[in-house]
Amino acid sequence: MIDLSFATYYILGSLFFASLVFLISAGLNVIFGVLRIINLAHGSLYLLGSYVAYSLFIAFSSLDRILLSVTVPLLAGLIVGLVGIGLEYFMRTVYRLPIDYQLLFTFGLILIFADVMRMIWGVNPLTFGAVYFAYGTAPIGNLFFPLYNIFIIAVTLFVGLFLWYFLQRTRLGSVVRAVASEREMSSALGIDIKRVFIVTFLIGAFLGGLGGAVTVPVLPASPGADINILIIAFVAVVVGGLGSVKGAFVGALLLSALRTIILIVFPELELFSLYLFMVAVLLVRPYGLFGAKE
Amino acid sequence: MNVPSLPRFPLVLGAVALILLLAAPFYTTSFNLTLAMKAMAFAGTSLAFNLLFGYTGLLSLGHAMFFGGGAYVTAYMVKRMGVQSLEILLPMSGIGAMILAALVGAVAVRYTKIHFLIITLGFSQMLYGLVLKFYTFTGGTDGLGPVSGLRFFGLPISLRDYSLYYFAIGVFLLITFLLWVIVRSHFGKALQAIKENTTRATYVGIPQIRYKYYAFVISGFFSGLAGTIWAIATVHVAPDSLYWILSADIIFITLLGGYAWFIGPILGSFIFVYLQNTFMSLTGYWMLPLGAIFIAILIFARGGVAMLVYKYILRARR
Repeated sequence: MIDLSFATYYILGSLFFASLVFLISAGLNVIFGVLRIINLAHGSLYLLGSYVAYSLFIAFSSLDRILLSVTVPLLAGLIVGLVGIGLEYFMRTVYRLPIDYQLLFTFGLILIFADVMRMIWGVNPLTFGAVYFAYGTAPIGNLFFPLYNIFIIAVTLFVGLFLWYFLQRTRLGSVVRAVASEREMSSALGIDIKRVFIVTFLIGAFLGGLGGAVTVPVLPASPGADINILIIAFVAVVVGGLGSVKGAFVGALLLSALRTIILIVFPELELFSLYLFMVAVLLVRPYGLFGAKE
Repeated sequence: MNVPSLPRFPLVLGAVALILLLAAPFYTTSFNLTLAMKAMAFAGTSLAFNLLFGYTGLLSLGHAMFFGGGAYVTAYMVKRMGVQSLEILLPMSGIGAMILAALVGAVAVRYTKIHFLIITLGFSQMLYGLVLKFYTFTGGTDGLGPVSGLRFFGLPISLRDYSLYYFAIGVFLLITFLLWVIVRSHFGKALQAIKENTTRATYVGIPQIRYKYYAFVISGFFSGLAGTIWAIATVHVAPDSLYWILSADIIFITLLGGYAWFIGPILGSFIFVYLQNTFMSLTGYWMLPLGAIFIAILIFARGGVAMLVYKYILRARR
């Protein structure tokens, strides 16, 4: 019985980490899929979401915690989404440049975002644990698993479903997919590419902000979290295949399963094994598990 | 990405800069000398990086692994093996980074563009992950230090009598000279041919994969040497020197200075370190202004500062 409860505990823990990775990498992937830009500033949008959510939690701290845990992330995501629209306007200057210039441009954005957030929210780690504790824990054998982590897993599943529904079942979604696979042709057929880019950035930034907002009760927002989280999401995206949401989903699951096993067997190799896995996948499949050849 | 090739850097300006650098102990503080040494370390690794980027057309986001790797070899030998002779530490750091480059390059040079970037990033982050976790060897997040009690062929070397500073200048000039010889050789021209048109280069008989591999290994070696300057300048080597942000800084420096000119990365390093320190001491923030400058360079002056200087010279001659 104890073995079974341990196994459940580890599997839930692994799913929790996979959720974090997917929440962050989904937006990165949506933007890459349509605009062919690796938005390094996505980690900054994530951290911005964390900070905005923190401020919202503090502002409305008298309200019901469970209610807050649902509304605040949506609001924070929306605010970050609007920032994303501003970002898109700014990025138009580099659409015509080679991909490495676009990548470097977003690196410049990381620097700017980092200092602006430091000016507003300071350098101390900020978190809002009250939401986390409001959820309580669930007993699994002798162990206790925090229910807030289950909530994050649920949010992730919901985001995944929403993305699938939006991209596969709505008219706007199919327009976005058309632009992603054949930009010139869609343009020739009368699709307003610019509007699609704006929508894409809105969704991508919304997902990044939402990810930051749901995680702030568990993972404190602090300077440096942007670049640390970005690089993990980047690995998941590359493993799954750049531009494929399904790939990001599978990549996140594989990555966190690997991480959970490594943490049990040989914890020193945690970071090393993630990157080794990424390089190994690239060597076998240069476009990732679900990526399309350029 | 092509910027018209520039004429050679005016030697007079180079001589003036060198004299200013050599005479620095007479007119500035030892804090500024340490900054200059950091700039020289960045310059060394950015020059080596630019052999791949500016000359061969390969954008690496993993050069911190050779730079930090070299710095760690120096710090490890001083701290854990009791080796304090710079005539041993310097070549060992270069060779250490070169071996690493030989291993990584064997895989990486088969890829181009964004895949090359991701693969180099992956390998450098692997090294970072190992260094961070194997505390007993590397000191983990604490890093290794102090790098002190150094000697060069028996002579004590320290910053107090400026011998450390002059040693750093010596290494920096050595890296610059050797890389300059390499880019002007037949091998260097072949690399540029690969960058201009890989297919055509292959048809005229340049073994492109093998040449890229050589360039990668050479680049790793010189980055390792620059790592030694970093280790002796900062005295304490921390895992930051291996993190991907440092690799991005190297790209930043190279573009800031101008990758189309051989000395561009040197200009970029000194400007980067100077601006970083000035903004930091004036306002407490450096990333915001430097990020804005970086973006401005990408949009308006893709040739970097070197291009601006060149245009200025052209106008002055007219």
